[in-house]
Amino acid sequence: MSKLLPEITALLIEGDFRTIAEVTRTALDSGITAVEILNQGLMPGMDHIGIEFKSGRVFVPEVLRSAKAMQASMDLIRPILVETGAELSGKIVLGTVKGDLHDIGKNLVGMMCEGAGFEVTDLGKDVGPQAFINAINTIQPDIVGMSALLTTTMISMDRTIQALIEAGLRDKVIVLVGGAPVTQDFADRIGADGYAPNAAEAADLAKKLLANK
Amino acid sequence: MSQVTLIYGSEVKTIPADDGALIGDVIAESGFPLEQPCAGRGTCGKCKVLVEIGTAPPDEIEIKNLSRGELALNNRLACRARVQGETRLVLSPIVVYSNKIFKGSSRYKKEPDVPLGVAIDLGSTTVAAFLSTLDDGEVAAGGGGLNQQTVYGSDVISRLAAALDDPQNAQRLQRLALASINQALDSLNLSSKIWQRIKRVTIVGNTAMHHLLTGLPIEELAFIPFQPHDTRSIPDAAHLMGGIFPEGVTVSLPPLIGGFVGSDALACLAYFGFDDPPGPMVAIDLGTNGEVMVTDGDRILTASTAAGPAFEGVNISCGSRAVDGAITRLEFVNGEVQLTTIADAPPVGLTGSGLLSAIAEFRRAGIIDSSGRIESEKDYPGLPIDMADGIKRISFHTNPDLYLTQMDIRELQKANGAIRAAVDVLMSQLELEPSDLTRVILTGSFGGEVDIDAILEVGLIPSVNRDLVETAANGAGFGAAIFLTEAGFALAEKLAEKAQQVDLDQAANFYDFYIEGMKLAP
Repeated sequence: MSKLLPEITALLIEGDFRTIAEVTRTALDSGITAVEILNQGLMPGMDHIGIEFKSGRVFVPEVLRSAKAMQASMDLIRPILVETGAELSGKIVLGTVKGDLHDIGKNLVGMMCEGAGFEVTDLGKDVGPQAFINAINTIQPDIVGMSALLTTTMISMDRTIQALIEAGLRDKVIVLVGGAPVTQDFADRIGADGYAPNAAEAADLAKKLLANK
Repeated sequence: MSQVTLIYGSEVKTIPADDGALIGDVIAESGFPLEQPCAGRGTCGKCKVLVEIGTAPPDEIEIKNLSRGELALNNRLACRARVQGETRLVLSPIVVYSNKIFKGSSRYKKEPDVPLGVAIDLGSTTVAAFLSTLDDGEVAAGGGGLNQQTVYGSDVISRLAAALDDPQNAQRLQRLALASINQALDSLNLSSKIWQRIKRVTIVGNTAMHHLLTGLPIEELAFIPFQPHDTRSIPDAAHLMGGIFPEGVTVSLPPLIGGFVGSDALACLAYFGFDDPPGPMVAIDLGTNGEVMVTDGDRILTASTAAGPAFEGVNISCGSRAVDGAITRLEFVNGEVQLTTIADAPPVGLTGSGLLSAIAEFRRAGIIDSSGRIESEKDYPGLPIDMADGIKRISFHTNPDLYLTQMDIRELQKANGAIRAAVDVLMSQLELEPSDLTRVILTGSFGGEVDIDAILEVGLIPSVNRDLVETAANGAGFGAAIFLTEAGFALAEKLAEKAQQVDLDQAANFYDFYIEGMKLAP
């Protein structure tokens, strides 16, 4: 039984989404719990991919393949996790801000965060302040992540944070920002709680800030 | 005492100075960069600044050393001009050298009656001017310089952001564009006799350059829907040129295609014969932005794609601009690394071409696999592979500062993916396979001199027979020269109507093509 979890980890790293589904089923049938598969099979795999991504040893296509494998396994264990009310790391709401249509980086952040055990809700692209506010009210996330890829749309992050303050929601969530033109300095200036330069570090930061909350 | 305000991009400093103080001294005091190779004698013209208000009238030396166009823009020499009253001036980036980039027929000198025209390619990095004989449309000479708008950022989006931030910035960007055109014209060394023969000027550029030059609204261009305010041609644009051209010269701006695909791409279409193609073909203008043009022999599709700055050697650990010693090519000769550098100087870093060439050669040797990963198992003689700060790197020269890191390869892969995806999206919309292509052309500051074998090796373009691929320098500039005549301008209108612009972010298959295009394989 213990051999199956390392196998799931290896299949996730390889990005073999077909075999990982079979092995996940076998694992569940053999009595391994969904929580064990998530924590000891999938999460170590995504953790490894995150480390490799930061050093450049794997790149976007490999991360996407691994994320697809993770999804194939998650599709099988998610219903059980929900049914048994298993505790996840936390909830994250993500979106590319108003005026901007770039979403590849934001999608990578979503995958990395899911791999770190977060429940991720992706609001998509061109997301206005009100859509973020609505999502915070309905989903009650711990973290809100905003992405902007253009110098001209970074300002939408500032506006969204202002809207959160006006709606009295700013203190209820941790706000993380990222995207090519965004810097730590900009994040500080607009009053975000954190900035990460890439998807793997975004997931690390989410874990760290939530632990300190 | 008067207040002197110095504007260098988004940095603004105000310092007090006595009336009569030399502007150059005030700039030196401010800490902003200023170059004065002639030590303030007023002869080299490297210390030009744009005066908005203030300063005493120019003396004889200044008038002698500034061109007509420069005086029209209120360009002044910091080494001569003096403070008078409240003064405000815009500084240019320090590297404003210009040079000849093309030399053609000298017929225009022998036949003094032939009317002349000037075609200008207002690129976001380089501004080039081409002198042309109007009777036969031949380009006689070309010269260029840096686009001085780079003080507001090297990418066009940063410049749009600056212009939106403050209407005064928009005006400054417009004047910096005109000053850059002056600079490009200056490199042609045109005598007043030649100027008297110049009847027409055309200016092409991408949509952002066009709108910043003409002062059109840019809100829709900087945000969704990322579309031009107005794509129509401006046949008589002399009034928008700040007086840099003599009276009586007709200045025309050809139409834009759409999105970020401007009249520079339109000029490429004309120059490469997209109005009457021999069959399906692809042209790529590869510079800071990548414009991709594809025809199936009838329809013409175009798109603009953000290749990022990797091709300029930016964000590359040992990246370099095209300076002496910059590496343009890396190859194995008898098992040893051989570098080609600009001016044969000792190597200082990799240009975009050098980066591409190195990665293609390492790919061929199996040092890098098709996913872009450095294979440490295969240690090639003379190419030590080690780790620095957790990142793998390949050293390729005894100079310890010359190496290629895993992250550098990733930067090129992103650029590769962006260009290839644009080509693949347009080809798929025209239902073209690589085997259908009869011609593939690369042009632009980077594309014009790119190593064709290297781009095929890394799959920047679809896999086609090597003989079908060609590079062409100055496609946009030469195309702009075609637009100088009335028949040529009519062709511009016709092509603009025919060419369609494709929004890549709306294309369902862009994402898959982008990811696939990151692969380093034919």
